[in-house]
Amino acid sequence: MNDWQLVQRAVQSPEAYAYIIERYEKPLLRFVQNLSQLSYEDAEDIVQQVFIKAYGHLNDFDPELKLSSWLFRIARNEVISFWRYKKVRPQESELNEEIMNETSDEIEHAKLLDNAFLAKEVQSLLALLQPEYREVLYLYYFEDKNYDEIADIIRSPVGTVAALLSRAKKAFSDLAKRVNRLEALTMINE
Amino acid sequence: MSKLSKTILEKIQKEHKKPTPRWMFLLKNIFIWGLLITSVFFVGMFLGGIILNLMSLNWEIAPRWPGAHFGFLHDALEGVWILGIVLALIGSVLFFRSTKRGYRYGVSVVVSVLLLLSFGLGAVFLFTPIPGFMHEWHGQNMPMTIHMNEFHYPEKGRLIGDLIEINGDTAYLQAPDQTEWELWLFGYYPVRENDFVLVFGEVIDTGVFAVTDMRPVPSNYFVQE
Repeated sequence: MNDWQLVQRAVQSPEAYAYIIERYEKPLLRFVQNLSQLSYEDAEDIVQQVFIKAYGHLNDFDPELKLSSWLFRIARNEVISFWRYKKVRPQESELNEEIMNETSDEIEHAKLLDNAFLAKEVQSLLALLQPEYREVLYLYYFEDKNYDEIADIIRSPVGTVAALLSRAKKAFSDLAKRVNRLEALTMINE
Repeated sequence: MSKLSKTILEKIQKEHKKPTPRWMFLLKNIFIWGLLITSVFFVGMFLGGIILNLMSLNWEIAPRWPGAHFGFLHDALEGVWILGIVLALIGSVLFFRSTKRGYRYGVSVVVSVLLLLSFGLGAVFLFTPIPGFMHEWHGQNMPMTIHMNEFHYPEKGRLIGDLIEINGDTAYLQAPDQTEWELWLFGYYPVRENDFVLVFGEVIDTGVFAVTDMRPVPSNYFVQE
């Protein structure tokens, strides 16, 4: 069953919608938590809102998009609305262990990030980046989204995604160098 | 069934939530496309007005106009239509970006395509009476301004004033600074005695001016000191 048929089925019965929820709740939870840097419980609240909103908009689903991209887009908008509502920008926070373990498993598949970084280190470095950079790096490396899919999620042209990703990689690399230098300096001082 | 899906389904059932009907989304899309088409129509219409205005200008006098070509364009262009183009273009870009797949194209591409489309539309508008009406409306409601003291500059080949007498190949002009000028005419100019005129040419002697072009100040011009 393709995404479009799945959505059509969900329009007919909320029970069919449960299948969509189960299929996407974990990736969405990880994405929301990573982007917002909120606690697991708060991220879960946002994901609930995402699914309720998506349910109302099922008939607006564009069959040209992947269902996952569409849901990630709604999740992203919900996080932005949450920031606006709270008038805060995300702070660094500890990630939930359960989610972290799942993310660690997926890092094995994401070959693009340097293997020297362990999942936790990468996550904590990502948390220090600007949300715009964190978002694209996360989608590209952790969720295996390609440029087109990221463009659909953040509603930007593919060229902008490529440029953003390139800047994000540079920012990440600079940050990693700075952190390593700081760690080395701390060791020398000790 | 996972805990989250159970909670969500309960919430959906409790709040009697239903997917919004497809026709509402269709209506919304039609509305956005309608706004987009309207704004492109306006950009085309304003462009048509400006193209007609530019085509009807007498470019021969431009080099002698205060500020030369740039000053001439600045004084002759109907600014309100330019403002209209900018606003309608911003609107059309925003509306385009609000369409379902509008985000896939960069702003520069969207602006270029919309401008191209609008130029085409503007050219089509030239064959309608609309740009003429716009020009007329502008002349009646937003007259162009000529600053007399800035314009009257005999050394730079420009005079402005009342044409007090035409006598064969000679005419007499009273300038705003009350000086009187004898004008040597070398052709026919569409002016009459008592017209308030713009004169182009060069100073031959004290109080004597050889005319290369002379025209009445257009009735839709507002003359300021």
